Amino acid sequence: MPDPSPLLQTRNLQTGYRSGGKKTITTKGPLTLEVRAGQLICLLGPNGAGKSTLLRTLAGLHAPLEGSVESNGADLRQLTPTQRARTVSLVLTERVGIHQLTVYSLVALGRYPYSGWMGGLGETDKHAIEWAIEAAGIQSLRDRKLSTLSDGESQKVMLARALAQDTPVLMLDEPTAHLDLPSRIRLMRLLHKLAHQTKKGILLSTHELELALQVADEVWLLQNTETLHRGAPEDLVLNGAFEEAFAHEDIRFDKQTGTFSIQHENRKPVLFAGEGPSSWWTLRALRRNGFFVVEAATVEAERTPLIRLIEKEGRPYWHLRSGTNDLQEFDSIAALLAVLDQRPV
Amino acid sequence: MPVISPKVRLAGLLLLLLLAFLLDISVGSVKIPLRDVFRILFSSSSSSMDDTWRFIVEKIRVPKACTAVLAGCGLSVSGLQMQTLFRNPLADPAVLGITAGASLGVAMVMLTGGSIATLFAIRELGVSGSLLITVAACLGAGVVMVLVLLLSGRLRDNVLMLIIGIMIGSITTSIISIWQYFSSPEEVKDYLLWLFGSLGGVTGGQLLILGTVTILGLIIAWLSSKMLDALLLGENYARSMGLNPQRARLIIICSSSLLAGSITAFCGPIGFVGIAVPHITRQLFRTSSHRILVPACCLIGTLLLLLCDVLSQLPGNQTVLPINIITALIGAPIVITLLLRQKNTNVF
Repeated sequence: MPDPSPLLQTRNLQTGYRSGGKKTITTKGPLTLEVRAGQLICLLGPNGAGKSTLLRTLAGLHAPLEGSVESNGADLRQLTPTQRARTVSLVLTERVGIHQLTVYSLVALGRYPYSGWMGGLGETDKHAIEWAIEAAGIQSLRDRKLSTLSDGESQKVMLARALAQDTPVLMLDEPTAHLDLPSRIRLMRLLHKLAHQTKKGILLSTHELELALQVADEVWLLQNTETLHRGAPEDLVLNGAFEEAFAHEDIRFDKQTGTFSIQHENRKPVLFAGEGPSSWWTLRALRRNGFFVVEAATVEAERTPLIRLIEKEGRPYWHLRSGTNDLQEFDSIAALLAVLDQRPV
Repeated sequence: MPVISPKVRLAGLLLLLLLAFLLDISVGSVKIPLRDVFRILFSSSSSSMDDTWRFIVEKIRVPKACTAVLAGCGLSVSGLQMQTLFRNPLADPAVLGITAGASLGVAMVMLTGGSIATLFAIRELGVSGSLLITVAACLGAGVVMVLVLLLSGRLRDNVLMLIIGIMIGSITTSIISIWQYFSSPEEVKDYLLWLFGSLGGVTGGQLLILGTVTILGLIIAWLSSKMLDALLLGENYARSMGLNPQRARLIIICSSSLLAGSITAFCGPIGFVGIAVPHITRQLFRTSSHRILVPACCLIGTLLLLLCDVLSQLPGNQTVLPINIITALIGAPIVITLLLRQKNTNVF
């Protein structure tokens, strides 16, 4: 398959701030990045790694310290504001608190770089607005005032506004930040679908590592100011880039599941026997409470609590045997943990 | 609330405004029957009995009502622009020190020029004198506004911006006070009278200057409504949509200084219209689109100022109260009522 030329590319980019002759580098680079048509790229990184600055620089709103961002061979900073607005559209983290504005009028504002002097809308503009409303799935909201929208709805409305701007590249700064889990998943799926169907290049910054691993075609992983790893999400998991970027003494990245877990300091050993979904949740609860499961051979089996998961009439029960004590039976994980926690280890 | 299209509302307001205009012309310290007012307005035939009345209507009342229309439009639209530009519902030309800047310009002309340049003398000078005051007031307003905006570039926070505006206003007022302290009582008296605000006394050539400058400012404001709409989303969004923030600020400042500056020069610092009218308009029209808000602010501002002017005549009394007193007395309760009725804390 021939490689289409990128919608946006950087040359030796270095981002940061310049104030009073002093340079503050946020991403050292030199970065050579590309946003291609039909790609959903997730920009990941810990807080303060410079995600927002990189995004603003790529959108042409912020001057790079070194190098350039180019679209079709033209430096984004050299374009007129209107030309730039026809290349990249943005969804930002700031909330738009204009309550008298209707959803339709807000989406219509996306036509700013195309509409006439007074903001008059032609046929093309109206078509683009209708398309954006449909693509973002907000048909039922079109006459609502912004003040009546939930966080998830208002994020979709802001997305529709960016879509109406009809740009090859779309960037979103932490679009899932204030959303509940179902809305987060829906938004990510929508963006994934949009990238593939409309052949836009979509770049978003997010903290949703697990979601990003599922939907991203490419991940850009920023690690505090130094480097940016890019590649397919799976490759970055396997080569340890994720672990390195989020490395922290209390946090462990699980390559098996692609999730992070909290590492407890004083971990207490338990023995465990059981299988099936109940076993998975039991282990999870044990881990959360600072226990770790060991093999019988590695510890003094006599003194280590043994938990056995059994099933009676289709319901799970937990048996606990420890030291000299008698066997205890529990019908919930909470009850098991309550007893386990009081036990001196 | 029944859905009435903005066009119907605008038309309704226009009708109310015509009535208010006629009412304003028909009341005053000299009683002239409404029938005669109409006759004077719409026929050119003159009988000797008419002469005094004709003079009062044509040379005093009509110019005054016209001034009320211009000031109502200009101050309201200037307030609307300030509130959108600073994204702050408290912003208006007075709060941000822009009126104080205009006052400084006027004070400079009035108080430094000595007796030659007192208000009376300037009125005597006619067009060239008022042109001088207008230019000084517009410059004063513009300088303060540029200062406020330069500082606003360094601050992202709107509340801080407002505090800075108020501080600059205080500094400006202090400078005027120092000037007053060292000026002669006659000059100070003229300046104090000007401070009370007055719609009267703007006639002939002065009205032409005020009208030209105000209409110019209004046209710029109306043409900048697309920019103002974009600015509602905040500067970052506005830039991402292709707005040139420096140019937009410059255009909006120009228009707002022309409006606030010229009106302050001729009528004194009329408070309250600038802050109250945009709120009333947004509540009545339930829109954030400046293409509608700008003309709607003009209508409501004019209506409010005409009614205030009628009330300042104190019907059945010879005394005329300064317009500044009435605008606050009428405007404040309206704004309070409207804000109490609304559930949201956000006014835009």
